[in-house]
Amino acid sequence: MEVLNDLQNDVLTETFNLGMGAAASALSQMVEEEVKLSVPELLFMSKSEAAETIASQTVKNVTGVSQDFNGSVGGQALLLFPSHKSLELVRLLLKDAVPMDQLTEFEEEALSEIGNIILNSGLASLAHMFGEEIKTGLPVFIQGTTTEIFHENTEELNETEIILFLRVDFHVEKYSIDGYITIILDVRSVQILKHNIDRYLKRVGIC
Amino acid sequence: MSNINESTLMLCDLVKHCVNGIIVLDKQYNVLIWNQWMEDHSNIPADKILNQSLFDYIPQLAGGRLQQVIDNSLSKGMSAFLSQTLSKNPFPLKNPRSPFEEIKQSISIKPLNTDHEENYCYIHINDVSPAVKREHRLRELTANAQFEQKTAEEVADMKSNFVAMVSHELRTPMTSVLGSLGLVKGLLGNELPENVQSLINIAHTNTERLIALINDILDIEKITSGGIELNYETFDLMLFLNEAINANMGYAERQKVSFKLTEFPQTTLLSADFAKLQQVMNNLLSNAAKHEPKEGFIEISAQRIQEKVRISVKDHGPGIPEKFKNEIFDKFSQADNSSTRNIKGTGLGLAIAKAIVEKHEGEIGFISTLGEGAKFYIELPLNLSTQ
Repeated sequence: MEVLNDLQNDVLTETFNLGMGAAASALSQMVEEEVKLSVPELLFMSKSEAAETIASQTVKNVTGVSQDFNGSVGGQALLLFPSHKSLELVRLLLKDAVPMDQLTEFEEEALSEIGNIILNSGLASLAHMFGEEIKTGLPVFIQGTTTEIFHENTEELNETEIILFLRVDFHVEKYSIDGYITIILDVRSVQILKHNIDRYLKRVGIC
Repeated sequence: MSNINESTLMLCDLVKHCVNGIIVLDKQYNVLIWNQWMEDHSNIPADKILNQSLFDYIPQLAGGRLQQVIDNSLSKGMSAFLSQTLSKNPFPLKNPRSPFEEIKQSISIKPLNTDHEENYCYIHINDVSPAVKREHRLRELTANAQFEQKTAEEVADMKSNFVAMVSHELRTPMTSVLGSLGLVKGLLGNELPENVQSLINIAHTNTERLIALINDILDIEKITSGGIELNYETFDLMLFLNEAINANMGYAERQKVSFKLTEFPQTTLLSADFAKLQQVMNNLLSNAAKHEPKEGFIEISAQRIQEKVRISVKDHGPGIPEKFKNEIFDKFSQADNSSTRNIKGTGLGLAIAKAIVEKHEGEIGFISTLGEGAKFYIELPLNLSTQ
């Protein structure tokens, strides 16, 4: 799905990369370990395509964090990991001595905090580029198949919604874990997003 | 303040007596709400901290992650969550009933807007100490269970390796002893005094028995440690039964009993490990021969039951005592455990037979009434086409 031209796409990717840089720095401080985050890929797609893309690249069960946001653009942002990878990530960051079979209550909380830092940083860099405020809600821990998660989270939205899909590379120590940020936007928000990217390009003198 | 109505008063009361910590700050970090729970757990009365900057009053909170997220909430409208695991309980809170016990905290921070568009920050502190204790306990128990399991596995491995090693080391000299005794018997048997001949016969028989026991121990260790591979081949069931009967004929004759094949299906092909199943049959037939009364006969039968074949061996001996039925397939298990038992055997034969049959995805069992003999059967899947 081509929503942005190459230049607009590059600007948006870089904006999110700046956000991920800030998130990585906050996380590194918290866990006293170098954490690196980057966005190698940014795409627009439908919700069913997003569910299929994640399911095709990973096992069907995903774990993550969801956050509502509103401002000049509004929607829902989700950070998703394959369930077994989320366990790996939390354990790397918390340095758990006794690994359990599944996430414990406090590991779920820790993942919520990690997701909150990453999603807030991504949305804050977007808000910064727009020069406008984007307010975020509290993070909610989610778990299920990609279809369940996208169905549940998009049930009330109309057919015209679009997913801004970002692949996120998470590096801790020598490990690399792939996650996904999916931002569910309606058509109006996509138009505002394009408009704001163009406005930013003009402001910095590129267009 | 004159417009305060009943619901506002109720809300104020609710916030005051909420069972979680509630703090509201203005843009200058001044504390506007500090509820009863915060008073009880921080030991700071509301009238002392209200309208004071949170970071001036509790300087240790300044400059950390808590201030960062409060700033983001006040200036950018962003909500945040601080988990007790990653954010390490920033507020200096203690349990009022146990003043040395720190309160473990999960904290939510949200921007709060009023009609006047003034930005406030709402901080909600949840006491998760009991849940943290439960999780620590759970981790301790899991760690102990993992340690115990690992130790048990190591001990079992060591035991198994030790038994296999000792048995192997015993077999070589015992074979040599048996060979020598055999030579003495064969070459000098008639020249020796009768009492020496008798002693040599006892030594020979018992050495044979010891070697059989060592072989059985090595077999069972190999089978139970998963060290055996089945060598599948396709063979005719009748040929298999005849071979088993022939192999045990000599023993049966010595026991003064005979074998009788009472029932068998039309040509049936089995796909299995011929040699290993012969070992099972040897065990069932020799057991039956041991228990069959003198001059009696052992009934051997085979039937096709759907996609399986059932081979049964029935004796007319004393039968299996009720209390022994549950442990008959256990290692070193014999109905007569006394040192003076009449029937000789290692007590491993049925355990080995069970392991071999189960490796074939088959089943072994028995039917027995005390005083009326025992019928042992094995059921094996017919893996290949049958005629």
